[in-house]
Amino acid sequence: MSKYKISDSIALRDIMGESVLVPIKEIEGFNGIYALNPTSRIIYDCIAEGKDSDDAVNAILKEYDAERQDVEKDVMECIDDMEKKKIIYKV
Amino acid sequence: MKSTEPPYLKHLFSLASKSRTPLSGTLEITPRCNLNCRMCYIHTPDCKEAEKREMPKEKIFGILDELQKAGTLLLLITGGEPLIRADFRDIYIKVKELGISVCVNTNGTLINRDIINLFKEYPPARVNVTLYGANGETYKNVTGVYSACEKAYAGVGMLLDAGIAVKLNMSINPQNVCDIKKVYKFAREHDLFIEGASYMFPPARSGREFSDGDRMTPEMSGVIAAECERLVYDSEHYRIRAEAVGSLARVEGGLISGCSDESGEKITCRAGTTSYWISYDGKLSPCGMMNEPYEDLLNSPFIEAWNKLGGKIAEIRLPAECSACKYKPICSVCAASCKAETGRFDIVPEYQCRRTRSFYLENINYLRQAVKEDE
Repeated sequence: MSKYKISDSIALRDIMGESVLVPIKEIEGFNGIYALNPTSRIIYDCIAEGKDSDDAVNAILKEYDAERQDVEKDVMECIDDMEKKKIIYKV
Repeated sequence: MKSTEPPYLKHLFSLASKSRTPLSGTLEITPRCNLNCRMCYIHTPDCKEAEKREMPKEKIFGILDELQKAGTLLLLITGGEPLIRADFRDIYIKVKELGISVCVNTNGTLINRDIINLFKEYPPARVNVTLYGANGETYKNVTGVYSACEKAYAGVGMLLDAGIAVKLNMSINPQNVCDIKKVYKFAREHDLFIEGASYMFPPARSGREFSDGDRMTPEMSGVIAAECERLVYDSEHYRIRAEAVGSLARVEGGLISGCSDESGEKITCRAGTTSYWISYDGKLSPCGMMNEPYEDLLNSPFIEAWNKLGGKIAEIRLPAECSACKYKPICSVCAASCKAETGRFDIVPEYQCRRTRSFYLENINYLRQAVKEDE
């Protein structure tokens, strides 16, 4: 199970109940802002706490009534996307 | 080249207006400038007195901490010419480290290798460069500095070469109106969004008044506003817009900027409800074109000042005549322009009336000509 870390070139802002990522330093291909929806926020928090993708799946299943395999697929897609955007990196 | 606000930002502004969150702000860090534009709303040649009132960076840092906690996500750094401050780098990095998305206004002439390296390391969301003409002679007539033209265009080039997002502005007045086509051509050639400002606010903040020739007549301003649109849109799209203006339907652009009031007598633009302006000497106001109302950030925490400002804004009433005016949907009248033109919020600004009618007629004449050519 891969582990990830949050880039230290990103700031997380909680504004009016919205979770928004804002780049601080240069991140190739990422300018502007990146909005986290509630499930991607759970994934982001798990990564920030040093947890892995399995923990993220379990955390989402605690909140939402969904099939495990669907959540696993969504979590991996979200992690891939964040990794492509260099919001997170593998350790 | 058209720019539109991304849907997610529209969503955030919608949330912010319900909760009166100060989502977006402008931080004016200095009134000083290395140019001396005759129509500038804030700069005067002798800024020594004003410079003494500039907030030191430590004070700015404290305010930035507070506005970040209050929910500011978007910040525009402006002046005067903000790059003229020796501590611009420190202020800029502080904004970035707070997780605030930042744009910078500049005349482009002070862009150098150090600034480029700063922007590469800490990328701005965008740099807005104001151009004042297409050659040195025009620049001399508008800004007083012949060599500023070459430096400004070189500055734009350096930003583009470094991959930094750039938007062009052009402040249009009688001395540079001859250069509009060339400046817009430059924008097209570099695939840059450009916004021509054909309306110049009276320089209430600088304590001056306009001299003859500092800004266009209202009739000319309306004509030029239409010309700027024709330089951006192809003929088919411009005709659609002209038809909308001709039928007095509201259309974004034209005379209507992103901050114009939509309807009614109360101030309904973002100023003071979801956005604010902080002056170089620590005054929090709804809009940088107004001297009042304001709250003093030198003596009040940001959120307290913001809340008090809300109360003052709620009392502002625009001219009653404007609500009933048939040109209202296409007119850019706002609280700031009423105050700057007349000294009061509730008096109709004649300049705006004449400008709007001129813009309307220019569009009607275009349509008549287009119909003739179709026949």
